[in-house]
Amino acid sequence: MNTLDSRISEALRAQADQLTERELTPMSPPLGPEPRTGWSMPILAAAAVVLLATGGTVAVRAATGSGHKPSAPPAGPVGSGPAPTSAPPSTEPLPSTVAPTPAGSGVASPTGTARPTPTPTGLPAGYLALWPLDETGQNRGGLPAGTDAAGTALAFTRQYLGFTEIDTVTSSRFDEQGAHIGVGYRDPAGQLRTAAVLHLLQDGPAGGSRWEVVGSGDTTLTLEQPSYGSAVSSPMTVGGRITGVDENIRVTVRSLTRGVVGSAPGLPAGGQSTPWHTGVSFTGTGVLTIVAVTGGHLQAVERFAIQGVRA
Amino acid sequence: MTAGDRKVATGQPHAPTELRSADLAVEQLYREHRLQMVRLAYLLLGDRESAEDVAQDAFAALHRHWHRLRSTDAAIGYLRTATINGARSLLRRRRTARRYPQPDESSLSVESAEASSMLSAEHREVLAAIRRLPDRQREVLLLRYWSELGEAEIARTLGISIGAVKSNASRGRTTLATMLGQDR
Repeated sequence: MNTLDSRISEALRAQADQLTERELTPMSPPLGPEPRTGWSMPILAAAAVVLLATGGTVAVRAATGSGHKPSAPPAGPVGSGPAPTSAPPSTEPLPSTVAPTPAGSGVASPTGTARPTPTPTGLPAGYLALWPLDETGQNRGGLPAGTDAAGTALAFTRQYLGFTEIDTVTSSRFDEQGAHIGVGYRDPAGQLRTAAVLHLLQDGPAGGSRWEVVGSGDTTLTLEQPSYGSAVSSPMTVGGRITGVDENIRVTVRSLTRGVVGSAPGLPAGGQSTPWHTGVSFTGTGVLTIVAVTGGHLQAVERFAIQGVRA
Repeated sequence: MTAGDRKVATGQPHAPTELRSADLAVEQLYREHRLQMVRLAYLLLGDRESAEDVAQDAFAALHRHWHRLRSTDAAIGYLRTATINGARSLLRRRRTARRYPQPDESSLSVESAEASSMLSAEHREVLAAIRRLPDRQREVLLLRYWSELGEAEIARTLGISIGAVKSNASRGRTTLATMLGQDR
């Protein structure tokens, strides 16, 4: 019989060893600046302009397929859009899982570095313009030109989706696939929580171009069915996977021109990467955004995922 | 642009060399100790996502307060304390949240329930007993048996006296021995 001490040690070690480096979500060290004094805020704002310029340059380089990759993601918010009141650490959730294929194919492609040929909408083929531009290039979202990726992501979340509790950019990463902006909130204890990582692309050449939301990178709440860019008809089955306890998934379908065109009642769910699915009826045609939301523990919207489809 | 340059550009009220040093030091600590801190939080919380969040917040706090540290060596202790405090705070919120189960229930988190199937029956029994201990006793035993810290270091980490460490460790062991039906 082992001693009590060895039983405790071995049990704790066995549980801890279940977590390995490979299983951890890739993140960067949280080196983001924090507001400290009153005079630091104007300087932070000025720095944001600098970062906007440098970040934009990086993004444009990435968009042109030059192969340049920023050596480190910008820390905190990248621009002067509806900026959060504090600069968060530059956490990096998993890369986007959007990885779209040409619309209608219904098959997700692996993440690659080559970017498809641009379409008349200004986005590379295969990507759906979800917000603020519609598929014809009209600025339906009313977002001012020049708004940076972080500002666009927050505006999409708060203005278009109406998730006003989400008020902070939690991470920003730029790569060959575009911008991956984490949006979230601080919980009552002041801890930063990421609600979603939005995937954005710059829809045209540098200067005068704008960032367009094209999807989300999902981790603990995923929206996998229907697949990105697939053709759908009403009613459709919407589903994915979720990790969490006592969750309640709500699904809505949005049209950029008509607002909410479909919704499903709350779906109780939970578990570890547990599949979920529900049926949704909707009206309307064109590009639609499916939105899956869960929350209710700390606030109404704690996590969400989006998927672009075509009806 | 290096991480140090980036901090200078944001106008933080520190000397550039100090900032660069802080960035580099925290980056290195992050590479070397992130898994350890996530595991520490995981042992307290039972689910990976929350553990990662707590550890990330601990490193963020370390970076914010870097200039207040007496020495680089103190950083590990700071991280450990911040991780435990973050986990304790999260557990407290879970208890008060209507929909969360109490942490002394075996289903503290779904992930832990699933992950426990990978453990032996012996380990599951011991871990279930540890989860039923009061927070302070559990923290003391975890730092003693998993982090392998001495009493003085445990006291510093938890902000309690060495006497409190001894009493909590003793009570925790006694309770575990009773629950596990083993002689102390």
